Amino acid sequence: MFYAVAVLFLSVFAFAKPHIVVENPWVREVPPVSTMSAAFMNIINTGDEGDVLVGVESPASRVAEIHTTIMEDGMMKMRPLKEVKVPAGGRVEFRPMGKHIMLIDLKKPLKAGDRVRLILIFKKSGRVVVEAPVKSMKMPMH
Amino acid sequence: MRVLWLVITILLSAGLLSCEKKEKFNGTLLDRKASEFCLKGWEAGKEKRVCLSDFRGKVVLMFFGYTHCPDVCPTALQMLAKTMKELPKDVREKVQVIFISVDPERDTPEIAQKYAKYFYPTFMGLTGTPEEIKKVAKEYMAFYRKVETGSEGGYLVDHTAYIYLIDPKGTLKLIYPSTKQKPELIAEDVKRFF
Repeated sequence: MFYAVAVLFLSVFAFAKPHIVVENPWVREVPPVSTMSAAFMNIINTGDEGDVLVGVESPASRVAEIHTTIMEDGMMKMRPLKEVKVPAGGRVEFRPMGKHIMLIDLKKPLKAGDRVRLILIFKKSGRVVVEAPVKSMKMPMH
Repeated sequence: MRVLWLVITILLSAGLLSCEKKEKFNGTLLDRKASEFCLKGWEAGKEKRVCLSDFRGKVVLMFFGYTHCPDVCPTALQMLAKTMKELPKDVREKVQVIFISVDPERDTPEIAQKYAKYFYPTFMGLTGTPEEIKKVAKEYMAFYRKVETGSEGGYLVDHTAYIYLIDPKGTLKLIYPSTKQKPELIAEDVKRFF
């Protein structure tokens, strides 16, 4: 009995790992004169060990960075983040006016319907590839 | 006697109602003269001088931002585009949305105009010399500053993100925070001026 419990314990310990699921990724369509855009998504860790998002790459832009928008002293500020922790069983939202992936120096203007490949780099899970559709926030004209 | 009381009650409640209708806005009431400014716009492929007083008779909704901003500014301009769509067509024609770039180093009048127009065809993007922008921003209590954050995208600009409503007589009437703002509430206020 003791042996069985020990094996069970050890096996759980040995197999403890993060499992990253990316939900609802999208990239904001921006005016064609703009060379920056932002990507949003929910990152869920269904595993039993925490993980950390440490970087992002995308073929759509020269650089991709993790940023956050904060409001401080009445000012809206954007700041780069070095990493974002995604705890075991946790969920981190990247959404407008909050954390976002900033796509810097777009190689070409993004239009609604395009798809952008994002490579999310995690400390433990490694590279997680996501295809994010470009969405326009505009409502149809009437 | 009873009739007299009735009349007084009716008059009082009518007075109260009209008062409430007149003064209750969704935005924060400022009610002071809007400072005049003239900045550079872009029309038909060339620069055009645009002054606030050009829009007397219209409601002006004004926002300070910059085009390298991928989050706050598009969200605010999108919200203003929704505000336009909330308005009946005849009122919509009497509203001018002005986006003033606080990043004149990177935003030329052409870029500012094209950026603003993307969100709604009648939106106007303006910019000026760094001194002109500084002066306008100061008069409207809009603060901004360049910050080096180590981002590969170059400097970022911290800025206040308010929406200013200037009424048809040139009064800086109302101010709104642009974040978590409901377009229908701004539209409701705009309709009161016509």
